[in-house]
Amino acid sequence: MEKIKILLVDDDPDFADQMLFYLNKFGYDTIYLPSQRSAESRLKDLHFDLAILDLMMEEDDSGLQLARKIKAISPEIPIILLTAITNETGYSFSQEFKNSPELLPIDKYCEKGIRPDVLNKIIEQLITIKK
Amino acid sequence: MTYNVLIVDDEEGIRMAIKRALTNYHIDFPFLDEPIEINVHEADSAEKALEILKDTSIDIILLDNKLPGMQGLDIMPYINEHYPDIKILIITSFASLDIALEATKHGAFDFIPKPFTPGELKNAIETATKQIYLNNILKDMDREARKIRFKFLSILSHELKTPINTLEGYMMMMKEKQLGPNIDNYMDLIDKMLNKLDDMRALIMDLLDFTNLNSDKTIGEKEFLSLKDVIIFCVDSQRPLAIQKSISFDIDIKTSLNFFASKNEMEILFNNLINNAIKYNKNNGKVIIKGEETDSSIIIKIKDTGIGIAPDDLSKIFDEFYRSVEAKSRRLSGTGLGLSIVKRMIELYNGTIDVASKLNEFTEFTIILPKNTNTNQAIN
Repeated sequence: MEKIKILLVDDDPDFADQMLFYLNKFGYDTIYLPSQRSAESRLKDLHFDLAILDLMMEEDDSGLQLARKIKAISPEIPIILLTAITNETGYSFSQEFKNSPELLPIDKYCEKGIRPDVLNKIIEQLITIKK
Repeated sequence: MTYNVLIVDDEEGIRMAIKRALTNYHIDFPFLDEPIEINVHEADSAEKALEILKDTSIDIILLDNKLPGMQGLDIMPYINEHYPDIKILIITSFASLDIALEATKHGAFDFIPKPFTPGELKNAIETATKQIYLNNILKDMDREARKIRFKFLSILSHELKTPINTLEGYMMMMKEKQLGPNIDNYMDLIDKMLNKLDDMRALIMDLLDFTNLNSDKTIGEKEFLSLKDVIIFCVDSQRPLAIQKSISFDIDIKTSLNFFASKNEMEILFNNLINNAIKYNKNNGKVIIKGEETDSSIIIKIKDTGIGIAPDDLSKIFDEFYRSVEAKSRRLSGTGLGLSIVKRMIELYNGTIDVASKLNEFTEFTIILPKNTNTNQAIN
């Protein structure tokens, strides 16, 4: 069976390091890009089964911009948006997302402090739904 | 922009006259983008006026004191309390000038003695309008300043939290022995943690510089000093860093570049720029520093042969906490405060800083410091 391939876009190389470590440990193939810009420029030739995007990169909403572009090309690819926004601003993104999920081009929203095994469960769920 | 004027007078003739004078009247100040239009509302009693105030946003009230029921003076305290932004102009006859004075004491903005000409009326309205307009601008500025402070603090908390999260993540990996029982397997990870701690220390140091800058106090005494000496001192103190990357300096400063400034501030300024020129350089690269002066200014150029800055990033590099995509993806440590400190520092001396760059080739900062600021003139 071919390994599931996950695209990770995050501008914090240390955080990405840790994520990639766990994703690989859970048995996924990974592609890592450090910015919205670098991801956009390669979007058309990349092949992946699921994307994990940081929300704030070059722009405050880089992750959402990128998500829209990914969905425009392949609407079936599940997207997880990761941010630390609630911790910092007190603004609860998850509430917004629960209230009107159809407004956002993502499938799941997670806080950055999420435990790796919990994240893995979410990935497994999204991949199963997709199948 | 339209301001609403409410006329409160029981004599219809007076109301008509005022209305006529203010119809098609607009106020134009040189600082306005578009003239202020006046929209007139009428009330024949104090009671009616209070009703209108409930559902119309009024800016100026022309208030006759002698009214059938409640008097003008009677409703003033109420208006002042509930609508503190409204400017009240009391209309009163010359005979009762004492009432006018009384009204002013109670918070009337001005009074218009009867009989008045349309010109006098317009003058009084114009003065009140100007006052309202300036008050509004001040309020907006205050709101803006608060917004900027809030934004700064929320970015700051992000910048402080991110490394803590990183450290926590690495420590969890160690605690769970994700790389096995042998401590040697964790050396790379420990190095990364130590680097993060260095970053945090640098951020705190930069924050200190930054808050000092914003307190409007000079860091250290101002004195007459040679910027050439300051630059050479900074270059020497950063040579060890340059040697690690085999970077050489090419310094071309012909005169001593005398300038009246705080030595501490000038060192912070040039240390930041020279440090950037080394940090964002390539191995075996060059840092080229040129200095020259004219009668009126000192011009210093600091150029590197480094990774450069993408056009999209160029306009943002002086923003607080902004770090270029290039810098972040290459894992170059930095706080994102250095250049905003540099910019503010230069602005304190009424100077300018410009940047030119080509990705993967060079970045060049050009600083112009005017010599003819008051302090420098006094010394020269």
